[in-house]
Amino acid sequence: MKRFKDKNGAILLEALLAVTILAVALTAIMQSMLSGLRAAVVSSEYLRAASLLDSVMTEQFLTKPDALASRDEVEAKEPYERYRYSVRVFDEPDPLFPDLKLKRLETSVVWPAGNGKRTLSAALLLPGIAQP
Amino acid sequence: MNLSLRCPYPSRNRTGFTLLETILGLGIFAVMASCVFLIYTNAVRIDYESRRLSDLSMESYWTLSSIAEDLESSAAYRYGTEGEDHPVFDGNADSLRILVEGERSLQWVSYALADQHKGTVRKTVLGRRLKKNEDQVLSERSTQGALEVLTRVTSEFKGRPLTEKDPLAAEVLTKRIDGLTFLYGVKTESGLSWQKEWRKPEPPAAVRVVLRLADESSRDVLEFSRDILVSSARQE
Repeated sequence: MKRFKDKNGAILLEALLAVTILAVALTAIMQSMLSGLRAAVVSSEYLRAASLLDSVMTEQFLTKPDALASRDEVEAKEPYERYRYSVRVFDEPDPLFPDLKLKRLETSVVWPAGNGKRTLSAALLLPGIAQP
Repeated sequence: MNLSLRCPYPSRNRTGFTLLETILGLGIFAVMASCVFLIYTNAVRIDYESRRLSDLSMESYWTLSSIAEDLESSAAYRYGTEGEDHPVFDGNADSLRILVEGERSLQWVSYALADQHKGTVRKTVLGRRLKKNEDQVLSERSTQGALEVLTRVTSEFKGRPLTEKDPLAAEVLTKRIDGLTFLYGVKTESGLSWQKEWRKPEPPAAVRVVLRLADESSRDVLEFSRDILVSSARQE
């Protein structure tokens, strides 16, 4: 009778063990797929940020050089509600033509992600304008 | 007393389970299996979601990049007959035609929406009580409007405005357009102001493309907007 009981217990334990191993393996697979989804979300956010960054740089490019000004953390308009961007303008000497000045534009887009932030930045050098 | 009458087999051969044990075992197995199945279906759903999202965003970005590439290589070209300039830039709210510098020659490039579903859109809806072999017109189609196709049509520039007889080459950029708007930027003192149409012979300073792509099955919408510099515009 003791032997019979032991054997039964072992089979149940084996079944439980097998199902547990399967569950653990599937959880691991699901975790990897979850990270895939997270990566897709992040990549989509970056693509949107790149589009916004392009738009900001276009706007800066079409602004008159003397009207360019640094701006801190401006809220982006529709459809980029969660995004903010900032522009920093520096004067930079032109290495070839000392009487011309280059404008160095540093633009960055910031958006919230989880507990932190993500940033995408780009710099643009605008050709010098001769000062009359 | 003859024991073999009550139990025909010797006890060492009794390796089967009692009914209670079988029920208990099956019950535990069912609970565990349903957990595993839940995990599995979730994994499949998540995988589908991530594919759909990345497809949608890549398609949006790729479409915007294609438009940007053409606008950024648009030709500053003036031509006319009888002292009058012909337009090299034709912009409407949802279509655009420009003259682009190709590898060997100039070509007309136009972006326009084409109707994907001429006739009735029909799709069998699962999980609803329908008559046998009956198709049902998609309900969201009738309320939201069908997803449209964005095409890029090119034609060689022959030194005159485009006519209906000119041969065209068309490619489909995306079939999931839920909304497309072109806005045309004019330089003002305070920056750019945006117009819905462009009817001047010279191109605008910039074009804003607002693109909304939707997924047919989940009805998720992804909206992109991008301001693109027009290279052929006279930048002062």
